Amino acid sequence: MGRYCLLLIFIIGAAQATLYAAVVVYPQPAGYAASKDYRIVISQDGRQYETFIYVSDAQFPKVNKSQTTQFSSFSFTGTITIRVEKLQGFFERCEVLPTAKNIKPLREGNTISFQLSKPENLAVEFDKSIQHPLLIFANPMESDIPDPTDVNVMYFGPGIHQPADTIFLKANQTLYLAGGAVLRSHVYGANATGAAIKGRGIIDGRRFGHTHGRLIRFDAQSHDVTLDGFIVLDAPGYYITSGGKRTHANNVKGLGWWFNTDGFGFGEDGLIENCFLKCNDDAIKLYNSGTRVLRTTIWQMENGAPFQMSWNSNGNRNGFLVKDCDVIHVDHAWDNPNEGVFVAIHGGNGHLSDFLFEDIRVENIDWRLFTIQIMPNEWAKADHPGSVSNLVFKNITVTTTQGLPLQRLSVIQGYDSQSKVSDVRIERLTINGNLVTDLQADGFEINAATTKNVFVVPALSKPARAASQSPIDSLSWTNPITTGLSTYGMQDFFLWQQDNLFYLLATEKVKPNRKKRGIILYSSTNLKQWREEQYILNRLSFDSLAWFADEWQAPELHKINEKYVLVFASRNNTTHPYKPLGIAMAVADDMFGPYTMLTPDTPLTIGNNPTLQTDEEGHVQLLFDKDGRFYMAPVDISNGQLLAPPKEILGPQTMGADYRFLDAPQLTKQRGLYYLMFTSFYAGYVVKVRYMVSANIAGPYRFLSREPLLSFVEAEADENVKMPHRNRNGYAPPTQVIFQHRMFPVRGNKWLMSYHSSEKYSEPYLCLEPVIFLPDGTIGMVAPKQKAQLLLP
Amino acid sequence: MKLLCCYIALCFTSSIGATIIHYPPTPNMVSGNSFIHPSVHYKIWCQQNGGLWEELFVYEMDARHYTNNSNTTAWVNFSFDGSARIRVERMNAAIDYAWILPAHAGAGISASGGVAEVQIDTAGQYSIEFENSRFITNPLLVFANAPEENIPDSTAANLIYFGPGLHQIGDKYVVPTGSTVYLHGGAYVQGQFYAEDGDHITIRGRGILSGEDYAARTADHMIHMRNCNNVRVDGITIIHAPRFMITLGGSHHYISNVKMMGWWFSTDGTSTGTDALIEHCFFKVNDDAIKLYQSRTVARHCVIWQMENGAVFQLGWNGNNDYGDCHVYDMDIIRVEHVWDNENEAVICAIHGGRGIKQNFLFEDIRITHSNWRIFHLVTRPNRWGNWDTNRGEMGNMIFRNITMQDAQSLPSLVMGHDAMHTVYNLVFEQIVTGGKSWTGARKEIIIDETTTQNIIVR
Repeated sequence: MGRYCLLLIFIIGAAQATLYAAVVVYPQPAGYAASKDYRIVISQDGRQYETFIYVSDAQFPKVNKSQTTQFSSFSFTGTITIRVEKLQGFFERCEVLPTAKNIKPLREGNTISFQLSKPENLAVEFDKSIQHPLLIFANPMESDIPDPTDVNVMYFGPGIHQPADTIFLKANQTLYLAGGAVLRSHVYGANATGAAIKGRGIIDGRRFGHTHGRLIRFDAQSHDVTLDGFIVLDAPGYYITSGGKRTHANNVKGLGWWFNTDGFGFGEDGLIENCFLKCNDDAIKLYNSGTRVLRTTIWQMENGAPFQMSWNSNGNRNGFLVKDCDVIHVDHAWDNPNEGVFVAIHGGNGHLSDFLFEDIRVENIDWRLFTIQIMPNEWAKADHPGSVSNLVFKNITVTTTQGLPLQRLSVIQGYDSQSKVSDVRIERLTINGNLVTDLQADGFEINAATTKNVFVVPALSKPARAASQSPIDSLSWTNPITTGLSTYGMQDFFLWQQDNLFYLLATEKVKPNRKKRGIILYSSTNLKQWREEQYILNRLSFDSLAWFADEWQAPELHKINEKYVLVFASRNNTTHPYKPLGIAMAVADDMFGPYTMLTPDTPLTIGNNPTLQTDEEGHVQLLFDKDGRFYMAPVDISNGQLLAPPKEILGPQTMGADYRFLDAPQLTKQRGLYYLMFTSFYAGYVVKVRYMVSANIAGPYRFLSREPLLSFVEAEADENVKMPHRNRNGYAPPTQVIFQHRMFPVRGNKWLMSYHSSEKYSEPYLCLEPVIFLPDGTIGMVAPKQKAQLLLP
Repeated sequence: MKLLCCYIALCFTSSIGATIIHYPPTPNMVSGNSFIHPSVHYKIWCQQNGGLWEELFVYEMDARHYTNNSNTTAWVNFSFDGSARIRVERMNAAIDYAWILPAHAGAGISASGGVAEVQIDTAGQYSIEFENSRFITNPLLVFANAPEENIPDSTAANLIYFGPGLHQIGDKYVVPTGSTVYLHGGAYVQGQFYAEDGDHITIRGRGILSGEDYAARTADHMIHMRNCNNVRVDGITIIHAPRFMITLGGSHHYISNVKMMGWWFSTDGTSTGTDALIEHCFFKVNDDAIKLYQSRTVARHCVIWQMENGAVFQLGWNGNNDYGDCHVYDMDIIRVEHVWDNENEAVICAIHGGRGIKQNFLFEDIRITHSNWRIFHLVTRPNRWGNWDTNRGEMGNMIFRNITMQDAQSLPSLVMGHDAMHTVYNLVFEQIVTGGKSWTGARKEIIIDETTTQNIIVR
């Protein structure tokens, strides 16, 4: 096999010598004049290649701030040096954007140069002028160039092609544009599943003027469309719409001038990566569930938003990810609501939720950052607009043109008490290097009546809130505690105290048929009122195929050897629905993250309710339950591996006649003894919380007292819902009322027990009770199962 | 003379045929009593052979819990022979839709001028519906019983007789071995029947047994007989159970024409001993309707309205003994109100967490309307109701044949074992149709976990 592969490579190399070169430039098409402003020469290994620079004149000059856009496209591998000569006039400074690429050009006279070792889409800017931008599309070498004789391939070689106003693509057909090819047609795919457009050539729409027509269009029955490497030039309207599922655009470049030259609008589960857009209307539509945008660069012209979430979306949409993207220019200067970077002007009836924008850099902007608004508009026909929830903006870096403040306030506003914008979390937004800590003070206008839970998470420390609690106050609360926790209830609470603040993690419950959001850190100053602090793990940042993609239960966070170790039970509900949970582990240097998954490929083991405890020799032990028994294994918290197979430490063999179905173990070390607390089930309807002790972590464990700490019978379960739900079955009562009890220290020498309330029809919520280690070593409950609870100073 | 004889005979026959036996309300059935009151939604008349229209008392009770999708349930209860016409006046709303379920039993329903009429030719339980929806606000049921046979004399030996009127018997009315409890059609009995180690016990009649005095799960099952053989329950209506409707331990049980309506979770229908036959019953319950927990259970010819919780046929959460040889057939599941992806939300369900082996089950000729949930949820899984044995506890050898659901499933059915020692094996799904589509070859209708199952055939 290997020998044949070598032979094949040799034959291809011999037949197309240019493929073998590490730099490939493309011929100048007849009728396309070269740039008078710039010249680009690429060098590698002593060889030099001049690459052709296209010039696109502004089509809407009364509005367009640029007079031309000039660009060159080539492919390479290895390391190259790019020399750009400015042919007209003198310049003082030169920058290569995106700034985050950290490319510092060297200057020699009127020539600048810089090196590249990987593909990039860049803008070279002289004296910060955008009159004649120069874009450099440095592509990777082409692979899988189709055979021109293949019946499923429409092959356009170098030169100009104008076969028809519209080229029709069929299912599984590939339109290939060789570098130097220019196709002057619309492309339309109907029922074209599996179709592709690829190559290094250009699809040019200039001859159609401003017709608002989509230059490239695939209908909703065209799934799995691939778009790769080519350039969309001077579209008469929308660059590319593709209504089917799983459209994948990679390294596609789009340039236009008119209003209505929106960039990409894809159907569900679309993926846009490594693309470049210079648009004069919304660059990327985040309209359909599952859209992901990665490593893409946007130059937003006078009109439209780089990231548009909705004008008129009807029906529910959720699950959007925009990550590691650069907005290199925002040329806005009008007061239209769509003049922002992150925009929703939502007038449709849909509920839009779960957007994560992470690691987004915005530069050369002077206007507005956010417009998140629910309002009827000219494109929406809904009787009553819908709602928007769960938007996370994380690591957003903004740099204005001159270092001055943005000129327009960001707006976050719902429509009425029904149609709200809720749960907007801004984590680490900096503007000109200043961390935004107070939205009102830092240029946000937030309508209190029509929004809920819009807040900024400044960063790592919480000095202001921590100071508000005094350790000499007594704390009182009423069980169950619901304030600030998830509307649909929570289970498996894990609490701790740090810096006079209380924190908790828990299993989130969500509305039936909705996906969970992730593992969320909650905080409280008083145990009574909680608030969402930030994501510890966010579903949107996971690969949807990861084994831990969308189910997280019983999370715990342990500080061990100056690391924060997160353990939880997890699953992929899409690929492995209903299967037993596995145990995942992640680690961070700081409590607030970022957390790195130590078990990215497989779980540590099958099991649930994982907990960690350091043994007498300093080894970290993982304790968990599986099939109604408890198991333990030493675990390497640096590499996320079990160091020995799990052993049963509590089960039928160790407990004999005392054995019942066991659930949710926790270990607490106190007075030289390991206290193993757990829940056991007596015929399902009776739940007893008990504990056993041992001097050795691996046991044997013995009862100090036969009396259960707490008992619950089914008739005690809550009958009534605690939260309002829009429809009567808008939550899912659990069929298996699994309790989980945890002890945690507070204020140095006191102990609290946490558990979730019993539920039959109702949502589970947090219950807390003080517990005492008595002189005889037993654990005492202060006011078992009482609603009103008190912790004295 | 011959002609006269014929004429007399004809008159006699027709007067017998025209007899619809219905029952007087008890004094507690007044408006304002949410447990039982005259319906404020429906008036009903009944007619036989073109004779006079007789008005029937329409019972009605209010829903008891937030999660219930219906606000009320109304019903009529009568005994008849031959065929009868039913006329319904919907008091508070116009009739723009009318239907009767089970669909195959109805001889057609017509509606005009604010009333609907339908002819009933066969004794049974029916739902007359004016809302074209999976969820109905004010259900109306018709319990058209066959004529009662062997109505006992109230003074007969070994008879506990509840005549017309209200009776309060408490939560543990012990039925002696060898005795019959008779609930006259006009009897309304508040309380629960109990027996232990008995034999040949019968509870029958056309009356109502109500558990309204007990909050959810605070009292026993409505009829609870421990270790009793040859128990028969026939013809009565059971409402407002705080737990199961009927739980019978022992063997050789017969449950027939019992109408069961509950509101709470844990209001399961029947749980019977070995060698039990359940037939011609009606269930509108909010937990498992029929428990298939013992060997040689046969269930057939029932009409089931499954509420938001519980499975229609539940094979169990636990079970440490091996059992099987159960047969379920000719069933009309007229409605399944499931909306949650909970593990007990399916028509045919097992969450087997015990050490027993469950095998040899045959389900056939099951018709499901007004459901969009999964039909099958058959898994082995450790759970808090079972004593999980790491080495034992499986199920298999089951045939599911000719099961038709009007609408498509909105979530797939599931067949999954837990691990290599707890597999699910030898299942045949044959002639399964949902939403008009046969399952043959269409694997997206059912998740079959390859690693923990063996020989699962869909054909």
